[in-house]
Amino acid sequence: MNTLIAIAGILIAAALQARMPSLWWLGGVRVEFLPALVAYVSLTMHRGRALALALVAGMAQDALSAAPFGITALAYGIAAVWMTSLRDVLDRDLPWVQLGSGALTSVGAAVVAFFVVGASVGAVFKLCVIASITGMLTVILFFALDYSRMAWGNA
Amino acid sequence: MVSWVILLGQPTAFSGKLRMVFVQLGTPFVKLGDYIPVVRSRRSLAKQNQELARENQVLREEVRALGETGRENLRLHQLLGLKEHTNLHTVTAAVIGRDSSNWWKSIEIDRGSEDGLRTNMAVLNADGLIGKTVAVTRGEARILLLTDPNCKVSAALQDTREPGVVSGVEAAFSFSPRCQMTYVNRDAKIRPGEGVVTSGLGVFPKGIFVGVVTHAQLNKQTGMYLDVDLKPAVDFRRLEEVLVVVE
Repeated sequence: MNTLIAIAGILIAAALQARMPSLWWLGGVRVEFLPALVAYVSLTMHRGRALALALVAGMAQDALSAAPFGITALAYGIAAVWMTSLRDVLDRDLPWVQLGSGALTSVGAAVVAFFVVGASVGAVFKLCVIASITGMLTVILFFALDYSRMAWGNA
Repeated sequence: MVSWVILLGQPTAFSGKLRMVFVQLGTPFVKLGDYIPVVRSRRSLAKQNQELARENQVLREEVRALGETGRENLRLHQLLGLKEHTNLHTVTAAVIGRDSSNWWKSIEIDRGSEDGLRTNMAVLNADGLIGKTVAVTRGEARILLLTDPNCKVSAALQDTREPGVVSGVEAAFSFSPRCQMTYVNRDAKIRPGEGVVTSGLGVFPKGIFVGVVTHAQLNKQTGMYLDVDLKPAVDFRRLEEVLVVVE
């Protein structure tokens, strides 16, 4: 049941990402929710489940994009495996760990994308902006989801 | 991971079907966005609120004011005019979604294979070329925009008839999307403001307006041809209805 809720949440986040207008005052970047979600599940759930959800998130994003199918899933999968293996040394409750994990997941997806679209100085700058926004969003997401889980558990 | 790359990197029936499954799963949520006001940015909501308040006043004073319906009618009228002017067999579609990623530029429309759409079909509106279809399901299709670096269009300068290839340019700050026409003869006499149209080679019909020249310079790496910067004819941030050339 929890997995189904998580998958529904991922699909809603992917759809939201595809419907949100780009931030024209930040150079036309789009807010990304899925890297933040991948960071959350990777630092919260068991490796197998985190990896499965990361792959679902990547495929959902690719399906609603012109990206080659599976390319973001690959990046999110690698990020999930990497973060779950480092979970013993990472304190998931620290905001900077949350920020860093979200930002690095976003960077990973961008780096994989660069193999297809090519990298430039402009693209790297855009990557930094997107990673910063995703990092901040991850901190908010951790707070909101942890609070929701706590409230759900107490109910 | 290597097998993953090999499996999904190939345009196999399996990866195609898997993609369709995720498109079918995700699209209902994208359409749900029409009913959830939170998906719109605060800025656009504030702007919309202002417009609605102003429109409300006008409506009170003049019953005949039709607001959004009138504007939509105008846009559709322009599209209809384009349909009548060209001999192309087209299908009108509404834009229902954007690209979920920051690194590709595409839109989703509400027409699919049931309406006769297939991949690699040209998409345009009254202003000019928009892009081409890249993924088609039964009821939806994804359009790769002209501003994406992966969208290559065979084009020609309107006055000098010099040929070249137009594609999108990834910029640090893309307040207004840019395109570039490459492989243009280095001896060509190009002046800013000159129009660029499709040449008819490839998937795009001949004569569709692409944009206007803003600047031309010799290619820095090879020096063998000109790189011509273009301002696209279409405002890609405000796409609502499009025409897909099905024949």
